[in-house]
Amino acid sequence: MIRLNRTPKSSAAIARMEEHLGHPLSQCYQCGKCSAGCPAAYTMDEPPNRVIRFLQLGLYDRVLEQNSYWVCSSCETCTARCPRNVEVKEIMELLRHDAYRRGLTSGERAVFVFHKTFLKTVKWFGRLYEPGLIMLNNLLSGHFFKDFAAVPGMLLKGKLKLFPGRGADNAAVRRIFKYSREEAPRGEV
Amino acid sequence: MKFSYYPGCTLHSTAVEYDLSARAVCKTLGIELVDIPGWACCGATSAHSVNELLAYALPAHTITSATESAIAAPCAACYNRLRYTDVNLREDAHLRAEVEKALGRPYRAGVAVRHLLDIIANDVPADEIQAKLAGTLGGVKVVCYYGCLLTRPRDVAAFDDMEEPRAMDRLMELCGAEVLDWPRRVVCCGAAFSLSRTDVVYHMTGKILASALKAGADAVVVACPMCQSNLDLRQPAILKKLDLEGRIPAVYFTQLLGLCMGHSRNELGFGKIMVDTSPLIQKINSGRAETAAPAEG
Amino acid sequence: MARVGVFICWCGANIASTVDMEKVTEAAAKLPHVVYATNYKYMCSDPGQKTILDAALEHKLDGIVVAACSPRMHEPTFRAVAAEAGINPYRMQMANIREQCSWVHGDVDEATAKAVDAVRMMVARVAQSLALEPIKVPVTKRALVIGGGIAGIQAALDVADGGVETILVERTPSIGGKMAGLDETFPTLDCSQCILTPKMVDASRSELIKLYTYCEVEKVDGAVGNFKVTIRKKAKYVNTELCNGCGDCWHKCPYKKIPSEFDFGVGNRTAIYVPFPQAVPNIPVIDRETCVFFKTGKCRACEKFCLRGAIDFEQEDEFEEVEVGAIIVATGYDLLDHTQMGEFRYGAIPDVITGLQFERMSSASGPTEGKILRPSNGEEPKVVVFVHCVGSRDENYKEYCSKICCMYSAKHAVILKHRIHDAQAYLFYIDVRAGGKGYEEFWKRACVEEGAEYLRGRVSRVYDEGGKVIVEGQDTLSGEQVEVAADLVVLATAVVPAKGSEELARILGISTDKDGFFNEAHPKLRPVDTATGGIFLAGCCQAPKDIPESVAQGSAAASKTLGLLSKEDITREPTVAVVDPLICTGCWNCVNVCPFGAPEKSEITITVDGKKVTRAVSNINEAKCEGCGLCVATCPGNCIDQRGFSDDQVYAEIGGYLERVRAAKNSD
Repeated sequence: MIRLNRTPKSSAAIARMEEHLGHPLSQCYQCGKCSAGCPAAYTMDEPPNRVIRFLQLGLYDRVLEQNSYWVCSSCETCTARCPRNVEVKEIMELLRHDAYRRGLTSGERAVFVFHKTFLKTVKWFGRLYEPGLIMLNNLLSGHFFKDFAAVPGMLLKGKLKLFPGRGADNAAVRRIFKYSREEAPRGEV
Repeated sequence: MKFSYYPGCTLHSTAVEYDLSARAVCKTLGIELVDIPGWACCGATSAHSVNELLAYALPAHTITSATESAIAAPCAACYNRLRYTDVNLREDAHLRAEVEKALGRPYRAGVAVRHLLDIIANDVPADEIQAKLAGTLGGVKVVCYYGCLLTRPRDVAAFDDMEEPRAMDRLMELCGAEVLDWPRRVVCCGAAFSLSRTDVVYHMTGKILASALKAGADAVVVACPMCQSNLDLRQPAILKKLDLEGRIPAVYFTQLLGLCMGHSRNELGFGKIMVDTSPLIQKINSGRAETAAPAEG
Repeated sequence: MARVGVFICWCGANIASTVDMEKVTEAAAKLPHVVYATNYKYMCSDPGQKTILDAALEHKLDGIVVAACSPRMHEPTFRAVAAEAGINPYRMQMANIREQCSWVHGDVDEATAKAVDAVRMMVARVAQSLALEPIKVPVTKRALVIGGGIAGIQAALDVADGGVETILVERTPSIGGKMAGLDETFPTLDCSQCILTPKMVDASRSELIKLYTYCEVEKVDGAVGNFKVTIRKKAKYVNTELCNGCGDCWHKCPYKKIPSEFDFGVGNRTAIYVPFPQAVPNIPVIDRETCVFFKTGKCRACEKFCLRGAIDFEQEDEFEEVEVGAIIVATGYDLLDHTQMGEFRYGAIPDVITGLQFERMSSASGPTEGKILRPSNGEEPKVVVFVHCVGSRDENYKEYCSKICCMYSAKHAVILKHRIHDAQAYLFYIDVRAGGKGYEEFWKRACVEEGAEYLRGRVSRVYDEGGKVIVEGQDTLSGEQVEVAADLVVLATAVVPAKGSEELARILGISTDKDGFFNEAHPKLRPVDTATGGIFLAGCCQAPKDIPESVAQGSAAASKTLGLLSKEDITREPTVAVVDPLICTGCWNCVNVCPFGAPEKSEITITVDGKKVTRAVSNINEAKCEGCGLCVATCPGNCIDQRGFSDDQVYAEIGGYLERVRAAKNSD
């Protein structure tokens, strides 16, 4: 039972989200086209249109507890097809930003850890370093030998380098990371 | 034609064959690629997933580092992030100011961000490409897979139709392939979850592979290293899970173009594809021989 | 022997898939009188009609049978073909082998046999048919509009604009109808009164429009072109010649707490009253039911204060008979009474109101001067729940969609936000039906720009608790039960036909649908006609409609009326009763039984045995006869026949069927 109070939209998080999107969440009229085409909907706690519906009803925290935004692949099918031009993918990303900042994994710890690891390697090397990413990811996620079977083949094919590449402007990248962490209006690495 | 070249991280590692073939094809077509000094990772997909400023600042660094007036990006994810960044930084002065603080220098607006497919398919006239072809694909059957980020959203990636893109199809037809129609040219492969929720990748990529096999294709032609990696590296396991027979190599459009332009398979990195490409090459060769035979006779 | 041609239609696959065309054609060709028989895919099409025409000339036909669909569909078509071929149109008969045969049977052999029967019967009938000529009757160039709402006003204005005198009958003291009580109108939010009152004034000033307010149609006789209408002019107890509408009477009336019908009880009126300040005509009436004088014989305050002596307690209802050529029915709608619905506590909660009550509150000229207030305590509501589909789309009440509620509820939400900026509207809906120019955009505006919260689902129960109205409902989009503590609940109750519609339908001789709305002649192709010639429909009396649709239908009905009344004469079917004066005994049974007054008493002088004898006999007035056949059946001497349905024809037709029985017996 949801008791609708007078100003459901007074929720600060939702107001911030609407400001960021550039349109009110009521722009969505719940046709379900986003969910109809979403390739990840099958594994979401609630499909994208439901996520928006809960936000429309002011249930921000409830949405953060669900895994939907973590398993969104940002493929933009939803945004591209939305007949009301709702920024669906953007909504999912804003939820991720907030959840990430708050450290909420909502049942998708592996996804959470992956993003964290990925950005760490980028922060360290300026560019992606796959072996480092895989190892660190496995270390942090506790799946030590995951995907290791593929590694020798890839090494043989010259697809993986043993050492991180050089050439990135590391100073610039570190500055970006530092600033993004300290100054970003939301989000943290 | 001269472009700043932004290979992105993967073309220096898992997609080295895309880098090799892109450079080879561009050279043949007279497209000069200039490396961007000090380029960094675009952040996809993690940066935009979890930190908005990072998501814009990383691509902004690379765009600002470019020396030419346009950037050629072969990776669909890089392309999408760079386009997003450029569109949003030009529209949102506040965001741009924030990003510039992170960069420590002014953002270089006005650099055109182009995908390599867009450049080859739309800037180079078809007859010029034709003129460079030394052989054909011999009527081999292909499906063209564009993936999700190459054509979406409409106002960011705008070089081809969002739902039914055809740029790659046209190039492959030009090369003498039989381009098959199929329904999954723009669906997502799930690349974002390649290391975290591999089950999602299996699900999404599985649908694509099954569809390509059902269409009767000899190869899936791609323009994104993430897609290729999912379609190729995980293919044996996915097909086993789906209980499907056969193998279908995922090859870059630049590799097939390069092959027709007379570059060697080695030059184009065919050997770096995990799925065996030799049946495909054999089909191309026998197809070429068949079409050549009447002329000899 | 007659020379009859039989033309059998496939109706595409409609008939041909169930009835064997060739067998019917063969059988038809062998019938007596038949000189030609053929079949064709679409007999009503151009080439089909030409087939008939060519055959008629080639075979010198003097009668035609078309075996096809119902005569309701194409009888006029094939009569015209007959006329063109030089054959009297009344010697063309249709054998219905579609509705009465192919559509209702599955077995090909049986259906084919039945089709052959139908053809045989009609051939026999045509052979007995006389040539008839249509009857011409002069048209009364005057129209009657029943109902003075927007549809009726528009119809009256348009008819008058065409130069035809129009009588506009309205049963309340003022024209204007429901629209006069509305606030702003969707989707443009223009003020209802601002756009309506000029039309009301136009109607009152038009030299060709006679307003009969506080009047009701009592009786209707006659037929298309010539109706005789009796109007009851209810006693106003005010001399309309003397009254100048100064208002002294109703200001002095001591009895001020009578719930106003016009305000749906939101405001009050006096016993002598005009329903609203902009009333047309601006002349009050005394409500006998609530006037203290009529109850107790004491008071007469109004009379005392009327400087013009216009109050007349002696008045009585008067009846006036008018003659008109056409009637437009525009009697509008009422709302379903929600106080019969338990889930809304049978009307026990004062803060649960209807959409029309909300309109009266939000209307600037209404009883609260545009202030939206809680009826319970007169405070501004901050949370208002609007409930769609109350009694509509509900098989326990009305199965149909009331059509206007989605839009007016959205409008209410917008108005609420405009009047009370910090108010929040919640709307419970099942679907938002916004088909109309600018309508989709309007409800989007309500939702997106004006912040109305739409909840997809019905309200299950409403109760009052702690000074709030608690609304329990469902949001099917989230799958959640929701609850709102509201200050005001506005019910979009079902639109139902105006009170008294059934009685009027009986008076007019028109039919109603299962819900009591007047039936149109054809749901698509004749939406403003009724099945009765010369009676047209406009506005919500036919089905729920919004203002633009009502206006459009009003204009359409006016155009139909003008078309009808532009003719000098009206052609009537010649299928009327006719008396054989030689055998009529003058019993007057026919005179007594006829509902139309067609049989008239007259005399005939005949020579019997060389002597001239004058006898009283009945004579049918063709202009009045509706061809119902009552007199034919009643006449004890069998001396009345009905043209087109003569005994000869009917017996021949029956004989045609009996052929089959005889054939079956013979084969045994």
